Amino acid sequence: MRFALKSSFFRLFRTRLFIWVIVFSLLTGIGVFNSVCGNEMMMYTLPSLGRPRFFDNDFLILCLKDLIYVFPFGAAVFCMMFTGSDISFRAVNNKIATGTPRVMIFFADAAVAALTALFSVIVSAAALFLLVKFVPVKESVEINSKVILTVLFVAVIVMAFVLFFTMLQVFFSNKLFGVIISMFLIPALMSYPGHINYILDQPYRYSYKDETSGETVWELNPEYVGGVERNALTFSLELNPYYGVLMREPGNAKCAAAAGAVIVLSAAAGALAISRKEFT
Amino acid sequence: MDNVVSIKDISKVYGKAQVLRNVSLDIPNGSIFGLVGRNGAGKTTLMRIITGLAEPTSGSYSISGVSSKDKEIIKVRRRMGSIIESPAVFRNLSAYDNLKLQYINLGMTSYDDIPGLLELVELNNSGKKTAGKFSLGMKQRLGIAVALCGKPDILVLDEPINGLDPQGIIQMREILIRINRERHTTILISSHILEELSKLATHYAFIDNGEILQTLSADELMNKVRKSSRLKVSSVEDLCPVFDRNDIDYKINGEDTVDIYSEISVSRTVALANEAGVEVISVAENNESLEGYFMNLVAKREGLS
Repeated sequence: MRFALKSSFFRLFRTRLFIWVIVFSLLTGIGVFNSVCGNEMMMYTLPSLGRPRFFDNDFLILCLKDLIYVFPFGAAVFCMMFTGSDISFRAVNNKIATGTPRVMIFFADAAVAALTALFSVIVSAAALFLLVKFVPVKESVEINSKVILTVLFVAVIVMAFVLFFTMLQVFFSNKLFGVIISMFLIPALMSYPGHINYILDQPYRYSYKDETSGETVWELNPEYVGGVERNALTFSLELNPYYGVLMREPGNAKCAAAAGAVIVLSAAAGALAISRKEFT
Repeated sequence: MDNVVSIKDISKVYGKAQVLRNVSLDIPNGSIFGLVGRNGAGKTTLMRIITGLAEPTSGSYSISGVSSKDKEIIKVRRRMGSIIESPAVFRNLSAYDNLKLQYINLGMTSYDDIPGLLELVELNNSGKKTAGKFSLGMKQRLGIAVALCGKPDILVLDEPINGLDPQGIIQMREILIRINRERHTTILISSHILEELSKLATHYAFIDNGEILQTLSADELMNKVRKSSRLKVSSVEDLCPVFDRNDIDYKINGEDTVDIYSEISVSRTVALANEAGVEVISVAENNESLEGYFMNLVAKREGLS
Protein backbone atom coordinates (compact mmCIF):
# COMPACT_ATOMS: atom_id res chain seq x y z
CA MET A 1 0.00 0.00 0.00
CA ARG A 2 2.91 2.32 0.82
CA PHE A 3 4.36 2.03 -2.69
CA ALA A 4 0.96 2.38 -4.33
CA LEU A 5 0.29 5.53 -2.28
CA LYS A 6 3.73 6.93 -3.06
CA SER A 7 3.15 6.24 -6.74
CA SER A 8 -0.24 8.00 -6.70
CA PHE A 9 1.20 11.03 -4.89
CA PHE A 10 4.12 11.14 -7.33
CA ARG A 11 1.65 11.27 -10.24
CA LEU A 12 -0.43 13.94 -8.53
CA PHE A 13 2.53 16.24 -8.06
CA ARG A 14 4.60 15.44 -11.16
CA THR A 15 1.76 15.76 -13.67
CA ARG A 16 1.05 19.27 -12.31
CA LEU A 17 -2.46 18.15 -11.52
CA PHE A 18 -1.91 19.44 -8.01
CA ILE A 19 -1.21 22.96 -9.29
CA TRP A 20 -4.46 22.83 -11.26
CA VAL A 21 -6.26 21.73 -8.09
CA ILE A 22 -4.93 24.78 -6.22
CA VAL A 23 -5.85 27.11 -9.09
CA PHE A 24 -9.34 25.56 -9.27
CA SER A 25 -9.81 25.83 -5.49
CA LEU A 26 -8.78 29.49 -5.39
CA LEU A 27 -10.89 30.42 -8.42
CA THR A 28 -13.87 28.53 -6.98
CA GLY A 29 -13.50 30.40 -3.67
CA ILE A 30 -13.40 33.75 -5.47
CA GLY A 31 -16.22 32.74 -7.85
CA VAL A 32 -18.51 31.60 -5.04
CA PHE A 33 -17.76 34.77 -3.06
CA ASN A 34 -18.64 36.82 -6.11
CA SER A 35 -21.77 34.80 -6.82
CA VAL A 36 -23.10 34.93 -3.24
CA CYS A 37 -22.44 38.67 -3.10
CA GLY A 38 -24.26 39.19 -6.38
CA ASN A 39 -27.14 36.75 -5.97
CA GLU A 40 -27.79 36.77 -2.27
CA MET A 41 -26.81 40.25 -1.20
CA MET A 42 -27.48 42.11 -4.44
CA MET A 43 -24.18 43.93 -4.42
CA TYR A 44 -21.18 44.04 -6.65
CA THR A 45 -18.20 42.19 -5.32
CA LEU A 46 -15.14 44.16 -6.26
CA PRO A 47 -16.38 47.59 -5.19
CA SER A 48 -17.71 46.02 -2.01
CA LEU A 49 -14.26 44.88 -0.90
CA GLY A 50 -13.30 47.08 2.00
CA ARG A 51 -16.69 48.77 2.14
CA PRO A 52 -19.89 46.87 2.99
CA ARG A 53 -20.97 45.68 6.42
CA PHE A 54 -22.76 42.48 5.45
CA PHE A 55 -19.95 40.01 5.74
CA ASP A 56 -20.44 37.97 8.87
CA ASN A 57 -20.25 34.27 9.76
CA ASP A 58 -23.65 33.56 8.21
CA PHE A 59 -22.42 35.00 4.95
CA LEU A 60 -19.26 32.87 5.18
CA ILE A 61 -21.32 29.73 5.83
CA LEU A 62 -23.56 30.59 2.91
CA CYS A 63 -20.49 30.81 0.68
CA LEU A 64 -19.03 27.58 2.05
CA LYS A 65 -22.23 25.65 1.38
CA ASP A 66 -22.37 26.98 -2.15
CA LEU A 67 -19.03 25.29 -2.82
CA ILE A 68 -21.07 22.08 -3.11
CA TYR A 69 -22.48 23.38 -6.39
CA VAL A 70 -19.07 23.78 -8.05
CA PHE A 71 -16.77 21.19 -6.50
CA PRO A 72 -18.44 18.05 -7.92
CA PHE A 73 -17.74 19.26 -11.46
CA GLY A 74 -14.10 19.79 -10.55
CA ALA A 75 -14.08 16.40 -8.84
CA ALA A 76 -15.39 14.70 -12.00
CA VAL A 77 -12.63 16.28 -14.11
CA PHE A 78 -10.00 15.50 -11.49
CA CYS A 79 -11.03 11.83 -11.32
CA MET A 80 -10.89 11.63 -15.10
CA MET A 81 -7.39 13.11 -15.19
CA PHE A 82 -6.11 11.13 -12.21
CA THR A 83 -7.67 7.68 -12.05
CA GLY A 84 -9.09 7.76 -15.58
CA SER A 85 -5.68 8.52 -17.09
CA ASP A 86 -4.11 5.74 -15.05
CA ILE A 87 -6.46 3.25 -16.69
CA SER A 88 -6.70 4.85 -20.14
CA PHE A 89 -2.92 5.14 -20.51
CA ARG A 90 -2.73 1.50 -19.30
CA ALA A 91 -0.24 2.66 -16.69
CA VAL A 92 -2.27 0.63 -14.21
CA ASN A 93 -1.12 -2.43 -16.19
CA ASN A 94 2.46 -1.71 -15.12
CA LYS A 95 1.42 -1.80 -11.48
CA ILE A 96 -0.58 -5.02 -11.80
CA ALA A 97 2.03 -6.76 -13.93
CA THR A 98 4.73 -5.89 -11.41
CA GLY A 99 2.78 -7.32 -8.53
CA THR A 100 0.93 -4.42 -6.89
CA PRO A 101 -2.33 -5.88 -5.51
CA ARG A 102 -5.25 -4.49 -7.52
CA VAL A 103 -7.26 -3.44 -4.46
CA MET A 104 -4.27 -1.47 -3.20
CA ILE A 105 -4.07 0.36 -6.53
CA PHE A 106 -7.70 1.46 -6.17
CA PHE A 107 -7.41 2.39 -2.51
CA ALA A 108 -4.23 4.38 -3.14
CA ASP A 109 -5.88 6.33 -5.95
CA ALA A 110 -9.07 6.82 -3.93
CA ALA A 111 -7.16 7.92 -0.82
CA VAL A 112 -5.07 10.44 -2.76
CA ALA A 113 -8.16 11.72 -4.56
CA ALA A 114 -10.07 12.07 -1.26
CA LEU A 115 -7.16 13.84 0.42
CA THR A 116 -6.86 16.17 -2.56
CA ALA A 117 -10.58 16.90 -2.29
CA LEU A 118 -10.19 17.71 1.41
CA PHE A 119 -7.19 19.92 0.68
CA SER A 120 -9.07 21.62 -2.14
CA VAL A 121 -12.08 22.40 0.09
CA ILE A 122 -9.76 23.79 2.76
CA VAL A 123 -7.99 26.01 0.19
CA SER A 124 -11.33 27.31 -1.08
CA ALA A 125 -12.60 27.85 2.47
CA ALA A 126 -9.38 29.68 3.36
CA ALA A 127 -9.73 31.83 0.24
CA LEU A 128 -13.31 32.65 1.19
CA PHE A 129 -12.32 33.41 4.76
CA LEU A 130 -9.57 35.76 3.60
CA LEU A 131 -11.89 37.48 1.14
CA VAL A 132 -14.51 38.02 3.83
CA LYS A 133 -11.82 39.22 6.23
CA PHE A 134 -10.90 42.00 3.80
CA VAL A 135 -13.86 44.09 4.95
CA PRO A 136 -13.46 46.55 7.83
CA VAL A 137 -15.93 44.79 10.17
CA LYS A 138 -13.47 42.06 10.95
CA GLU A 139 -14.80 41.14 14.36
CA SER A 140 -18.05 39.78 12.87
CA VAL A 141 -16.23 36.89 11.12
CA GLU A 142 -14.47 34.22 13.11
CA ILE A 143 -13.60 30.58 12.79
CA ASN A 144 -16.02 28.93 15.18
CA SER A 145 -17.38 25.42 15.50
CA LYS A 146 -20.20 26.20 13.08
CA VAL A 147 -17.75 27.26 10.37
CA ILE A 148 -15.55 24.22 10.97
CA LEU A 149 -18.57 21.91 10.89
CA THR A 150 -19.70 23.46 7.62
CA VAL A 151 -16.24 23.03 6.09
CA LEU A 152 -16.23 19.40 7.25
CA PHE A 153 -19.74 18.90 5.89
CA VAL A 154 -18.70 20.28 2.48
CA ALA A 155 -15.50 18.20 2.56
CA VAL A 156 -17.42 14.98 3.29
CA ILE A 157 -19.87 15.70 0.46
CA VAL A 158 -17.03 16.46 -1.98
CA MET A 159 -15.12 13.35 -0.87
CA ALA A 160 -18.25 11.26 -1.49
CA PHE A 161 -18.40 12.64 -5.01
CA VAL A 162 -14.69 11.98 -5.53
CA LEU A 163 -14.91 8.40 -4.31
CA PHE A 164 -17.99 7.74 -6.42
CA PHE A 165 -16.38 9.22 -9.54
CA THR A 166 -13.15 7.29 -8.89
CA MET A 167 -15.22 4.12 -8.72
CA LEU A 168 -16.96 5.08 -11.99
CA GLN A 169 -13.61 5.60 -13.70
CA VAL A 170 -12.45 2.15 -12.63
CA PHE A 171 -15.75 0.65 -13.66
CA PHE A 172 -15.96 2.19 -17.15
CA SER A 173 -12.25 2.14 -18.20
CA ASN A 174 -12.94 4.87 -20.76
CA LYS A 175 -12.15 8.09 -18.95
CA LEU A 176 -14.29 10.27 -21.22
CA PHE A 177 -17.30 8.02 -20.79
CA GLY A 178 -16.68 8.06 -17.04
CA VAL A 179 -16.57 11.85 -16.88
CA ILE A 180 -19.70 12.22 -19.05
CA ILE A 181 -21.68 9.93 -16.74
CA SER A 182 -20.29 11.85 -13.75
CA MET A 183 -21.26 15.18 -15.27
CA PHE A 184 -24.82 13.97 -15.90
CA LEU A 185 -25.19 12.75 -12.34
CA ILE A 186 -24.47 16.15 -10.79
CA PRO A 187 -27.35 18.11 -12.39
CA ALA A 188 -29.62 15.10 -11.75
CA LEU A 189 -28.79 15.34 -8.04
CA MET A 190 -29.18 19.11 -8.11
CA SER A 191 -32.62 19.00 -9.70
CA TYR A 192 -33.81 16.15 -7.48
CA PRO A 193 -34.94 18.29 -4.48
CA GLY A 194 -36.99 20.60 -6.72
CA HIS A 195 -38.68 17.66 -8.40
CA ILE A 196 -39.42 15.84 -5.15
CA ASN A 197 -40.59 19.04 -3.46
CA TYR A 198 -43.08 19.52 -6.29
CA ILE A 199 -44.46 16.02 -5.64
CA LEU A 200 -44.55 16.48 -1.86
CA ASP A 201 -46.20 19.88 -2.18
CA GLN A 202 -49.21 18.42 -3.97
CA PRO A 203 -52.33 18.99 -1.83
CA TYR A 204 -54.24 16.02 -0.44
CA ARG A 205 -57.38 17.32 -2.10
CA TYR A 206 -58.29 20.34 -4.15
CA SER A 207 -61.45 22.37 -4.64
CA TYR A 208 -63.17 24.08 -7.47
CA LYS A 209 -66.42 25.96 -7.89
CA ASP A 210 -69.17 24.09 -9.72
CA GLU A 211 -70.47 26.49 -12.37
CA THR A 212 -74.04 25.08 -12.37
CA SER A 213 -74.64 24.79 -8.65
CA GLY A 214 -72.21 27.48 -7.59
CA GLU A 215 -71.00 25.27 -4.76
CA THR A 216 -67.39 24.55 -3.87
CA VAL A 217 -66.55 20.94 -4.73
CA TRP A 218 -63.69 19.07 -3.01
CA GLU A 219 -61.93 16.24 -4.80
CA LEU A 220 -59.01 14.00 -3.85
CA ASN A 221 -55.82 14.88 -5.69
CA PRO A 222 -54.59 11.75 -7.59
CA GLU A 223 -51.07 13.20 -7.66
CA TYR A 224 -50.87 13.32 -3.87
CA VAL A 225 -48.31 10.93 -2.49
CA GLY A 226 -48.84 9.60 1.00
CA GLY A 227 -47.92 6.83 3.38
CA VAL A 228 -44.67 4.91 3.03
CA GLU A 229 -43.95 6.41 -0.37
CA ARG A 230 -44.14 9.93 1.06
CA ASN A 231 -41.84 8.97 3.94
CA ALA A 232 -39.39 7.39 1.52
CA LEU A 233 -39.37 10.45 -0.71
CA THR A 234 -38.91 12.77 2.27
CA PHE A 235 -36.09 10.57 3.53
CA SER A 236 -34.37 10.53 0.13
CA LEU A 237 -34.73 14.30 -0.01
CA GLU A 238 -33.00 14.69 3.31
CA LEU A 239 -30.09 12.63 2.03
CA ASN A 240 -29.58 14.83 -1.01
CA PRO A 241 -26.72 17.31 -0.49
CA TYR A 242 -28.43 19.99 -2.52
CA TYR A 243 -31.55 19.83 -0.36
CA GLY A 244 -29.55 20.91 2.66
CA VAL A 245 -28.09 23.82 0.74
CA LEU A 246 -31.44 24.75 -0.72
CA MET A 247 -33.14 24.76 2.64
CA ARG A 248 -30.24 26.69 4.21
CA GLU A 249 -30.14 24.33 7.13
CA PRO A 250 -27.17 24.92 9.41
CA GLY A 251 -26.12 21.30 9.47
CA ASN A 252 -27.43 18.15 7.91
CA ALA A 253 -26.47 15.06 9.83
CA LYS A 254 -28.52 12.71 7.65
CA CYS A 255 -26.94 14.05 4.49
CA ALA A 256 -23.44 13.79 5.97
CA ALA A 257 -24.21 10.21 7.04
CA ALA A 258 -25.44 9.44 3.53
CA ALA A 259 -22.22 10.90 2.11
CA GLY A 260 -20.27 8.69 4.50
CA ALA A 261 -22.24 5.69 3.28
CA VAL A 262 -21.51 6.67 -0.34
CA ILE A 263 -17.79 6.84 0.52
CA VAL A 264 -17.82 3.37 2.08
CA LEU A 265 -19.98 1.82 -0.66
CA SER A 266 -17.97 3.44 -3.46
CA ALA A 267 -14.75 2.18 -1.89
CA ALA A 268 -16.19 -1.32 -1.64
CA ALA A 269 -17.64 -1.24 -5.18
CA GLY A 270 -14.40 0.18 -6.59
CA ALA A 271 -12.33 -2.49 -4.87
CA LEU A 272 -14.65 -5.17 -6.22
CA ALA A 273 -14.62 -3.68 -9.73
CA ILE A 274 -10.83 -3.47 -9.92
CA SER A 275 -10.31 -6.98 -8.55
CA ARG A 276 -12.70 -8.48 -11.13
CA LYS A 277 -11.66 -6.28 -14.01
CA GLU A 278 -10.02 -7.68 -17.14
CA PHE A 279 -7.45 -5.10 -18.15
CA THR A 280 -6.67 -4.67 -21.82
CA MET B 1 17.58 -25.28 -19.47
CA ASP B 2 14.91 -24.63 -16.81
CA ASN B 3 11.53 -23.25 -17.71
CA VAL B 4 10.90 -19.80 -16.34
CA VAL B 5 7.21 -19.86 -17.27
CA SER B 6 5.11 -23.01 -17.44
CA ILE B 7 1.53 -22.89 -18.65
CA LYS B 8 -0.72 -25.84 -18.00
CA ASP B 9 -4.08 -26.39 -19.71
CA ILE B 10 -5.15 -22.77 -19.66
CA SER B 11 -8.55 -21.98 -21.13
CA LYS B 12 -10.22 -18.62 -21.34
CA VAL B 13 -13.86 -17.98 -22.15
CA TYR B 14 -15.41 -14.57 -22.76
CA GLY B 15 -19.17 -15.01 -22.76
CA LYS B 16 -19.74 -17.65 -25.43
CA ALA B 17 -16.40 -17.20 -27.13
CA GLN B 18 -13.60 -19.55 -26.17
CA VAL B 19 -10.41 -17.59 -26.71
CA LEU B 20 -7.94 -20.12 -25.33
CA ARG B 21 -8.32 -23.91 -25.33
CA ASN B 22 -6.18 -25.99 -22.99
CA VAL B 23 -3.01 -24.11 -23.79
CA SER B 24 0.15 -25.68 -22.39
CA LEU B 25 3.52 -24.08 -22.93
CA ASP B 26 6.98 -24.05 -21.40
CA ILE B 27 9.18 -21.01 -21.84
CA PRO B 28 12.86 -21.86 -21.30
CA ASN B 29 14.97 -19.60 -19.15
CA GLY B 30 17.07 -17.16 -21.18
CA SER B 31 15.17 -17.73 -24.40
CA ILE B 32 13.52 -15.30 -26.79
CA PHE B 33 10.21 -17.05 -27.19
CA GLY B 34 8.21 -16.01 -30.24
CA LEU B 35 4.45 -16.41 -30.08
CA VAL B 36 3.15 -16.64 -33.64
CA GLY B 37 -0.50 -16.40 -34.54
CA ARG B 38 -3.12 -14.55 -36.50
CA ASN B 39 -5.24 -11.70 -35.14
CA GLY B 40 -7.61 -13.07 -32.55
CA ALA B 41 -5.63 -16.29 -32.20
CA GLY B 42 -5.30 -15.73 -28.45
CA LYS B 43 -1.74 -14.37 -28.19
CA THR B 44 -2.64 -11.19 -26.32
CA THR B 45 -5.07 -13.01 -24.03
CA LEU B 46 -2.36 -15.51 -23.13
CA MET B 47 0.08 -12.68 -22.40
CA ARG B 48 -2.52 -10.82 -20.36
CA ILE B 49 -3.07 -13.93 -18.27
CA ILE B 50 0.65 -14.40 -17.65
CA THR B 51 1.02 -10.77 -16.61
CA GLY B 52 -1.97 -10.97 -14.26
CA LEU B 53 -4.16 -8.56 -16.21
CA ALA B 54 -6.72 -11.31 -16.80
CA GLU B 55 -7.62 -14.51 -15.00
CA PRO B 56 -7.82 -17.85 -16.78
CA THR B 57 -11.21 -19.57 -16.82
CA SER B 58 -9.43 -22.83 -16.08
CA GLY B 59 -5.89 -24.12 -15.84
CA SER B 60 -2.88 -22.58 -14.18
CA TYR B 61 0.60 -21.31 -14.85
CA SER B 62 3.76 -20.86 -12.89
CA ILE B 63 6.41 -18.18 -13.02
CA SER B 64 9.86 -19.12 -11.73
CA GLY B 65 8.30 -22.18 -10.15
CA VAL B 66 5.59 -20.28 -8.26
CA SER B 67 2.05 -21.30 -9.18
CA SER B 68 -0.52 -18.69 -10.23
CA LYS B 69 -2.73 -20.02 -7.45
CA ASP B 70 -0.07 -19.24 -4.86
CA LYS B 71 -0.23 -15.83 -3.16
CA GLU B 72 3.52 -15.51 -3.67
CA ILE B 73 2.87 -14.98 -7.38
CA ILE B 74 2.46 -11.26 -6.64
CA LYS B 75 6.06 -11.10 -5.40
CA VAL B 76 7.33 -13.10 -8.38
CA ARG B 77 5.65 -10.62 -10.73
CA ARG B 78 8.07 -7.98 -9.47
CA ARG B 79 10.63 -9.83 -11.57
CA MET B 80 8.55 -9.37 -14.70
CA GLY B 81 8.21 -6.49 -17.15
CA SER B 82 5.65 -6.18 -19.90
CA ILE B 83 4.15 -4.27 -22.77
CA ILE B 84 0.71 -5.49 -23.71
CA GLU B 85 -0.60 -4.08 -27.02
CA SER B 86 0.71 -0.56 -26.50
CA PRO B 87 3.33 0.91 -24.18
CA ALA B 88 1.79 1.81 -20.82
CA VAL B 89 3.31 5.21 -20.24
CA PHE B 90 2.00 8.50 -18.91
CA ARG B 91 1.83 10.97 -21.76
CA ASN B 92 2.10 13.95 -19.45
CA LEU B 93 5.30 12.74 -17.79
CA SER B 94 8.85 12.84 -19.16
CA ALA B 95 10.73 9.63 -19.95
CA TYR B 96 12.72 9.99 -16.72
CA ASP B 97 9.58 10.52 -14.63
CA ASN B 98 7.83 7.55 -16.25
CA LEU B 99 10.74 5.37 -15.23
CA LYS B 100 10.86 6.90 -11.76
CA LEU B 101 7.15 6.16 -11.35
CA GLN B 102 7.75 2.52 -12.23
CA TYR B 103 10.65 2.39 -9.76
CA ILE B 104 8.25 3.67 -7.10
CA ASN B 105 5.68 1.04 -8.10
CA LEU B 106 8.36 -1.58 -7.61
CA GLY B 107 9.24 -0.18 -4.20
CA MET B 108 12.76 0.80 -5.24
CA THR B 109 14.33 3.77 -3.53
CA SER B 110 17.42 4.29 -5.64
CA TYR B 111 16.95 5.79 -9.08
CA ASP B 112 20.60 5.56 -10.12
CA ASP B 113 19.87 3.05 -12.87
CA ILE B 114 17.44 5.32 -14.71
CA PRO B 115 20.04 7.16 -16.86
CA GLY B 116 21.50 3.78 -17.89
CA LEU B 117 18.08 2.49 -18.88
CA LEU B 118 17.38 5.63 -20.90
CA GLU B 119 20.72 5.18 -22.63
CA LEU B 120 19.93 1.54 -23.38
CA VAL B 121 16.74 2.52 -25.20
CA GLU B 122 18.40 5.60 -26.69
CA LEU B 123 16.16 8.10 -24.94
CA ASN B 124 18.88 9.74 -22.86
CA ASN B 125 18.51 12.96 -24.82
CA SER B 126 14.73 13.25 -24.47
CA GLY B 127 15.12 15.69 -21.54
CA LYS B 128 11.91 17.14 -20.13
CA LYS B 129 9.89 16.38 -23.24
CA THR B 130 6.70 14.61 -22.19
CA ALA B 131 5.92 11.15 -23.57
CA GLY B 132 2.83 12.55 -25.31
CA LYS B 133 5.16 14.40 -27.67
CA PHE B 134 7.23 11.30 -28.45
CA SER B 135 7.14 9.49 -31.80
CA LEU B 136 5.65 5.98 -31.81
CA GLY B 137 9.13 4.47 -31.87
CA MET B 138 10.21 6.56 -28.89
CA LYS B 139 7.06 5.56 -26.99
CA GLN B 140 7.72 1.89 -27.74
CA ARG B 141 11.31 2.24 -26.53
CA LEU B 142 10.11 4.05 -23.42
CA GLY B 143 7.65 1.20 -22.87
CA ILE B 144 10.55 -1.26 -23.08
CA ALA B 145 12.53 0.85 -20.59
CA VAL B 146 9.56 0.91 -18.19
CA ALA B 147 9.26 -2.85 -18.56
CA LEU B 148 12.97 -3.18 -17.80
CA CYS B 149 12.78 -1.28 -14.52
CA GLY B 150 14.01 -3.39 -11.65
CA LYS B 151 16.02 -5.65 -13.99
CA PRO B 152 13.27 -8.21 -14.63
CA ASP B 153 14.01 -11.86 -15.36
CA ILE B 154 11.12 -12.06 -17.80
CA LEU B 155 9.94 -9.59 -20.39
CA VAL B 156 6.50 -10.04 -21.98
CA LEU B 157 6.16 -8.01 -25.17
CA ASP B 158 3.00 -8.01 -27.21
CA GLU B 159 3.58 -6.64 -30.71
CA PRO B 160 6.43 -4.32 -29.67
CA ILE B 161 7.36 -3.47 -33.27
CA ASN B 162 3.85 -2.70 -34.44
CA GLY B 163 3.71 0.55 -36.37
CA LEU B 164 7.46 1.15 -36.27
CA ASP B 165 9.35 2.32 -39.35
CA PRO B 166 12.18 0.07 -40.68
CA GLN B 167 14.80 1.97 -38.71
CA GLY B 168 12.69 1.69 -35.55
CA ILE B 169 12.32 -2.04 -36.11
CA ILE B 170 16.08 -2.51 -36.43
CA GLN B 171 16.64 -0.38 -33.32
CA MET B 172 14.09 -2.40 -31.37
CA ARG B 173 15.63 -5.69 -32.53
CA GLU B 174 19.08 -4.60 -31.41
CA ILE B 175 17.77 -3.48 -28.02
CA LEU B 176 15.96 -6.77 -27.43
CA ILE B 177 18.98 -8.84 -28.42
CA ARG B 178 21.17 -6.77 -26.10
CA ILE B 179 18.72 -7.20 -23.22
CA ASN B 180 18.59 -10.94 -23.78
CA ARG B 181 22.35 -11.39 -24.12
CA GLU B 182 23.65 -8.88 -21.59
CA ARG B 183 20.99 -9.21 -18.91
CA HIS B 184 20.01 -12.83 -19.63
CA THR B 185 16.39 -11.73 -19.64
CA THR B 186 13.87 -14.23 -20.96
CA ILE B 187 11.68 -12.55 -23.54
CA LEU B 188 8.21 -13.70 -24.57
CA ILE B 189 7.38 -11.78 -27.73
CA SER B 190 4.56 -11.79 -30.23
CA SER B 191 4.62 -10.06 -33.58
CA HIS B 192 2.78 -9.99 -36.86
CA ILE B 193 6.04 -9.29 -38.65
CA LEU B 194 7.19 -12.89 -38.74
CA GLU B 195 10.34 -12.25 -40.74
CA GLU B 196 11.45 -9.87 -37.99
CA LEU B 197 10.52 -12.37 -35.32
CA SER B 198 12.60 -15.02 -37.08
CA LYS B 199 15.67 -12.80 -36.63
CA LEU B 200 15.16 -12.73 -32.87
CA ALA B 201 13.48 -15.81 -31.52
CA THR B 202 15.26 -18.84 -30.15
CA HIS B 203 11.98 -20.71 -29.60
CA TYR B 204 8.55 -20.56 -31.18
CA ALA B 205 4.98 -21.43 -30.35
CA PHE B 206 2.38 -21.35 -33.10
CA ILE B 207 -1.10 -20.55 -31.91
CA ASP B 208 -4.35 -20.51 -33.83
CA ASN B 209 -7.94 -20.27 -32.71
CA GLY B 210 -6.88 -20.46 -29.09
CA GLU B 211 -4.88 -23.67 -29.50
CA ILE B 212 -1.15 -24.21 -29.56
CA LEU B 213 -0.40 -25.90 -32.88
CA GLN B 214 3.27 -26.52 -32.32
CA THR B 215 6.21 -25.48 -30.18
CA LEU B 216 9.76 -25.83 -31.37
CA SER B 217 13.19 -24.33 -31.10
CA ALA B 218 14.70 -22.06 -33.75
CA ASP B 219 17.07 -24.89 -34.79
CA GLU B 220 14.18 -27.28 -35.24
CA LEU B 221 12.34 -24.67 -37.23
CA MET B 222 15.40 -23.99 -39.38
CA ASN B 223 15.52 -27.67 -40.23
CA LYS B 224 11.90 -27.57 -41.23
CA VAL B 225 11.98 -24.39 -43.24
CA ARG B 226 15.43 -24.77 -44.82
CA LYS B 227 15.96 -24.30 -48.53
CA SER B 228 15.05 -27.21 -50.73
CA SER B 229 14.46 -28.15 -54.35
CA ARG B 230 11.07 -29.64 -55.05
CA LEU B 231 11.19 -32.39 -57.62
CA LYS B 232 8.16 -33.74 -59.44
CA VAL B 233 9.02 -37.16 -60.79
CA SER B 234 7.35 -40.18 -62.40
CA SER B 235 8.19 -42.48 -59.44
CA VAL B 236 9.42 -41.44 -56.02
CA GLU B 237 9.78 -45.08 -54.98
CA ASP B 238 12.45 -45.81 -57.58
CA LEU B 239 14.32 -42.55 -56.95
CA CYS B 240 14.79 -42.88 -53.20
CA PRO B 241 17.33 -45.79 -53.24
CA VAL B 242 19.55 -43.79 -55.60
CA PHE B 243 19.38 -40.74 -53.29
CA ASP B 244 20.17 -42.95 -50.28
CA ARG B 245 23.24 -44.38 -52.02
CA ASN B 246 24.50 -40.87 -52.80
CA ASP B 247 23.88 -39.47 -49.28
CA ILE B 248 21.36 -36.96 -50.47
CA ASP B 249 19.16 -35.43 -47.81
CA TYR B 250 15.55 -35.56 -48.96
CA LYS B 251 11.96 -35.76 -47.80
CA ILE B 252 9.12 -37.48 -49.64
CA ASN B 253 6.32 -35.01 -50.00
CA GLY B 254 3.73 -37.05 -51.89
CA GLU B 255 3.40 -39.85 -54.45
CA ASP B 256 5.29 -37.94 -57.10
CA THR B 257 7.01 -35.16 -55.15
CA VAL B 258 10.26 -35.15 -53.23
CA ASP B 259 12.09 -32.26 -51.50
CA ILE B 260 15.89 -32.31 -51.71
CA TYR B 261 17.74 -30.46 -48.96
CA SER B 262 21.32 -31.24 -50.05
CA GLU B 263 23.10 -28.72 -52.23
CA ILE B 264 22.96 -30.40 -55.60
CA SER B 265 22.86 -29.05 -59.14
CA VAL B 266 19.85 -29.60 -61.37
CA SER B 267 21.95 -31.51 -63.94
CA ARG B 268 23.23 -33.93 -61.26
CA THR B 269 19.69 -34.40 -59.95
CA VAL B 270 18.47 -35.24 -63.44
CA ALA B 271 21.46 -37.58 -63.94
CA LEU B 272 20.61 -39.44 -60.70
CA ALA B 273 16.99 -39.68 -61.78
CA ASN B 274 18.05 -41.13 -65.14
CA GLU B 275 20.24 -43.61 -63.25
CA ALA B 276 17.11 -44.76 -61.40
CA GLY B 277 15.11 -44.80 -64.60
CA VAL B 278 12.82 -42.07 -63.32
CA GLU B 279 11.55 -39.20 -65.43
CA VAL B 280 11.92 -35.68 -63.95
CA ILE B 281 8.75 -33.71 -64.70
CA SER B 282 9.69 -30.43 -62.99
CA VAL B 283 12.23 -28.87 -60.61
CA ALA B 284 11.34 -25.86 -58.47
CA GLU B 285 13.14 -23.95 -55.72
CA ASN B 286 11.30 -24.32 -52.47
CA ASN B 287 12.28 -21.66 -49.92
CA GLU B 288 9.80 -21.83 -47.07
CA SER B 289 9.77 -18.87 -44.69
CA LEU B 290 8.51 -18.71 -41.11
CA GLU B 291 5.40 -17.13 -42.54
CA GLY B 292 4.98 -19.95 -45.03
CA TYR B 293 5.61 -22.54 -42.35
CA PHE B 294 2.98 -20.98 -40.12
CA MET B 295 0.47 -20.73 -42.95
CA ASN B 296 1.04 -24.38 -43.83
CA LEU B 297 0.53 -25.32 -40.22
CA VAL B 298 -2.75 -23.40 -40.06
CA ALA B 299 -3.86 -24.83 -43.42
CA LYS B 300 -3.15 -28.37 -42.18
CA ARG B 301 -5.14 -27.69 -39.03
CA GLU B 302 -8.07 -26.26 -40.96
CA GLY B 303 -7.90 -29.24 -43.28
CA LEU B 304 -8.18 -31.52 -40.29
CA SER B 305 -11.06 -29.70 -38.65
